[in-house]
Amino acid sequence: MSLGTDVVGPSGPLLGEPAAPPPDSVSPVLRRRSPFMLGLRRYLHNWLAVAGAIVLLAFLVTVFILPLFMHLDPYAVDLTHSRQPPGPGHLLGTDGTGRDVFARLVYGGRVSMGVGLAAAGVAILLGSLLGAIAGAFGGWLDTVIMRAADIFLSFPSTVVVIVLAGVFGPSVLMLIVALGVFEWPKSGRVVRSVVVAMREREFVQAARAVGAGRGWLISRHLLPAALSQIVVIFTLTVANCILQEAALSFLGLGVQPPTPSWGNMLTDAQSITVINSMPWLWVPPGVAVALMVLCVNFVGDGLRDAVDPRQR
Amino acid sequence: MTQPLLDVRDLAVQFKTLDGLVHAVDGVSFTVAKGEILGVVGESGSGKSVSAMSMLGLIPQPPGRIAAGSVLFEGTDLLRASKRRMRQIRGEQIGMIFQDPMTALNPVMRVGKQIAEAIRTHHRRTSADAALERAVELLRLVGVPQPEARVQQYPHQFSGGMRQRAMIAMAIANDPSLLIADEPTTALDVTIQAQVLDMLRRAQAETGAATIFITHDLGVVAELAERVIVMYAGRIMESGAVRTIFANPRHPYTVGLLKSLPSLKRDSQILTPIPGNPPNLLQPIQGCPFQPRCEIGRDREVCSTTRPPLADVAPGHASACHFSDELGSAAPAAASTGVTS
Amino acid sequence: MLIAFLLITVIIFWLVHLAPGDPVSRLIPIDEYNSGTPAFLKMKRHELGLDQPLIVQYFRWFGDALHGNLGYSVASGRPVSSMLAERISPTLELMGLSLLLGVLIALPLGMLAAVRKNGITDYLATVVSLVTISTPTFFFGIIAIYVFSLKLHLLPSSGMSNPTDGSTSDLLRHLVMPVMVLGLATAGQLTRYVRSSVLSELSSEYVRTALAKGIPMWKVMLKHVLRNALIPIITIIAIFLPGLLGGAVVVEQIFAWPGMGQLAVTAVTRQDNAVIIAFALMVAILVMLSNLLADLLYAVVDPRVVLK
Repeated sequence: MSLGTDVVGPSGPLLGEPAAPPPDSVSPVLRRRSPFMLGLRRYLHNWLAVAGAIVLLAFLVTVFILPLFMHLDPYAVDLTHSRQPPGPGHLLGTDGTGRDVFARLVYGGRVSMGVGLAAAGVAILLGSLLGAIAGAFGGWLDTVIMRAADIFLSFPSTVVVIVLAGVFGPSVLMLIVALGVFEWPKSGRVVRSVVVAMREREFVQAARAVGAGRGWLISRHLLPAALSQIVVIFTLTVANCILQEAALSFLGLGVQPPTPSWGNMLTDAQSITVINSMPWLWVPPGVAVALMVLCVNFVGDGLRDAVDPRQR
Repeated sequence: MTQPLLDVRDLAVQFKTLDGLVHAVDGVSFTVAKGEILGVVGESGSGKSVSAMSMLGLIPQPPGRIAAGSVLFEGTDLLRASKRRMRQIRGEQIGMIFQDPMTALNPVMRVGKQIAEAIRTHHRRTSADAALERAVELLRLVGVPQPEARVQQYPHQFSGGMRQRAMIAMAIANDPSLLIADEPTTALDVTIQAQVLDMLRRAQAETGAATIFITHDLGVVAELAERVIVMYAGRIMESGAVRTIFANPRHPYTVGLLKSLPSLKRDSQILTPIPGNPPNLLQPIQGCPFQPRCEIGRDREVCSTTRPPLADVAPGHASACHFSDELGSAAPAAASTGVTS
Repeated sequence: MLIAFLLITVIIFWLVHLAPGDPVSRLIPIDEYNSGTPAFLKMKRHELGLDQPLIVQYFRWFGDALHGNLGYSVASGRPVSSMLAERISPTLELMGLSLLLGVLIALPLGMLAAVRKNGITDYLATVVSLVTISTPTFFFGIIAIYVFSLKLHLLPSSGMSNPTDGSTSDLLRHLVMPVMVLGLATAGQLTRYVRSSVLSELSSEYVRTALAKGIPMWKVMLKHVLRNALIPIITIIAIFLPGLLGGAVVVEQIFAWPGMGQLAVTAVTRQDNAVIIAFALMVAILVMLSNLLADLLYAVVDPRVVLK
């Protein structure tokens, strides 16, 4: 959905085909623009998306660059100063074992982002592969893969991780793989539909007539066409994965302490005392997750509107 | 001269788009008398559909905009009437038939119910059963076989021609005095077209309603309409009785249209389309919109600077061309050598 | 469909087989296990078919499950089936009510947003729904507890009821926050779907036909647009059910709501494999059922679809 974009033209039944531009020089508005510029222009019109991008950038800078300038140790335990409110030396106070909350927030950001990106990466790779196979080969393989997609889509990854954590014990690698494996359907569907649509198009048939093999076709023609949509899905998947990681770490099934993650920083907040009298322990990580995911969602939505020619 | 049923004056409709303001309808005036069948002919983008829809207030007002004009229907200016009055008129005094009956009918509602809805909206006290009975009658009237059974079916269970008949039934349900048919046969097979046209003619004869028949197909117009207006780029190029216009076209665009028709009489194997493309409606056009493609006006300055008024060239026959007298006065029929290609 | 379910059960079984710990410990009551001599355990192992090939074990396990025998919890010593039985209804209650709340909010909001597209209502609805989606449910829960329990002292912060007071109003008060949190999260997700579904119906030709018949816009919305827009929405809701369970798990943890989710999470910390497997099985069943439901509903609601 787009917010703040201009009104667009009338739909098909009211007005016929758009007129071809007259051959002479015309107003700049009708000069041909590249799809990228068109998309960029549309994106920039969406101020929420732009704001999201800016804040996201700020986050990334803080999380990755700040530790180079500030001395931050998320692991330093100091039991004599545990559960201290924000004050000198500790921007956001200390947690149950005296570790600096701010440091954990910053490093936790790396972990949460890292897991989110990695999981989304797994999801996209898997999805693109399966989607391309389904679309290119068709037949029963296609049916099987698509049915599997339906099922994976509805399976809550939270539950799967619970089971896996119960059986094998929690681990970050398992978390990434589990999250990724359950997010593949979205990109899979998109890639498949692009492949199917392309399969019938003339230039594919022409290329095959010239002797192009399936693999070449897939990498040179089909994937670039799907690229813009994949980027959108990737962004939205990252948002979702960060959210899931937070929930799972909160439950104790994801990133394990002492490694900081925004999710496991909130595990402490299951006690009433903490909620009531130590807001510095739970407010920053919660707000951080919400804000980060919100920004990524804004960016993803903005990308989707910029890329999708139809009005939303 | 009795009052016309419908009197459109200087209608102008624009659309606001990302690329600018599109002048879809640019100063259109015409009248429709009681019981008359008027054909509106033009290519895609000529503004014919937009004119009709704006009359009924069916153009979404952003991005659309009625820039000027008045539409007098039985005394009321439709463009300035209250929403309530418009709702009264729509479906009761003016009935509309749309192009694609598959999408124009609600796919999840039974056909009978949709027809009955038209009736009950305007006759509140009609019971559901009575309205349904009337729907059955209407379906029978428009030639749908087994109407009692059909009335309970869904649109996808009807064939294309039958769906259009159902739409006609819906449009005439409340005995309107004006019917607007927007390309009703375009989405149908040629064989079905003839049936539906026949149906329309009969419906019109039965109800005595005036009809505005919008199409891009000259052949259809020739069959059905008494008078015709030819539209191009949002303006009227020529208007008059059908026979007169076909026999004696007085506008280069009409001449071109008629020449481009494949004909069984002419012996040529080459079709002669009008060269060029329709103009870009983003720019307000100063002179005649057809000028770049016009044989007569291509090199004439007045055609590009001054807008030709829609002027009478004979009683009941008007043309918007500066040089209409250079056309048609001599040779009859479109097979003339009058304008070389 | 059925094949998929069976495949999933095979995977579950295989996973469990890989789990550390002695399988016997979850197949007989824990007391028996702890007090059993090695000879006894050996006999049990044989009796339970644990020396048989895997395939046989699978069928045995599956058969047991069908009969309601899901093993024993190492933590509580009780049969898992009875533990699940008492935990199912709180979870279903939570899920059901939250779904209801979510739908009650999302439908009108989504419709309004679609009709007043790009207007203030649309903007607000979109932003609110995005914020709801982006905020982790448990954070919502914590905030709710902070506001309603600790600062306003209006609502209890945990459990399903106060042991000393089982009255309806007490039950209701305990219900409010969990349902509110999960319901809002659901509403956030659904609103976008409702909006986009209604939007795509709004540009349909039949809307124009209905307007041309003189029907007022609000009636067109309710009688024509909604009927069509609901078709994809209903199937989306059906597919969404397992996700709702995922949300319920988290909410149960925050509010100490005695449901299946809380049971499963504690089982993980205690390495209570029998419970975990049973939970997995339940979820698999739920996923299958909801997919089936979606297919069925689609056929029922859309007259164009023919059931195969």
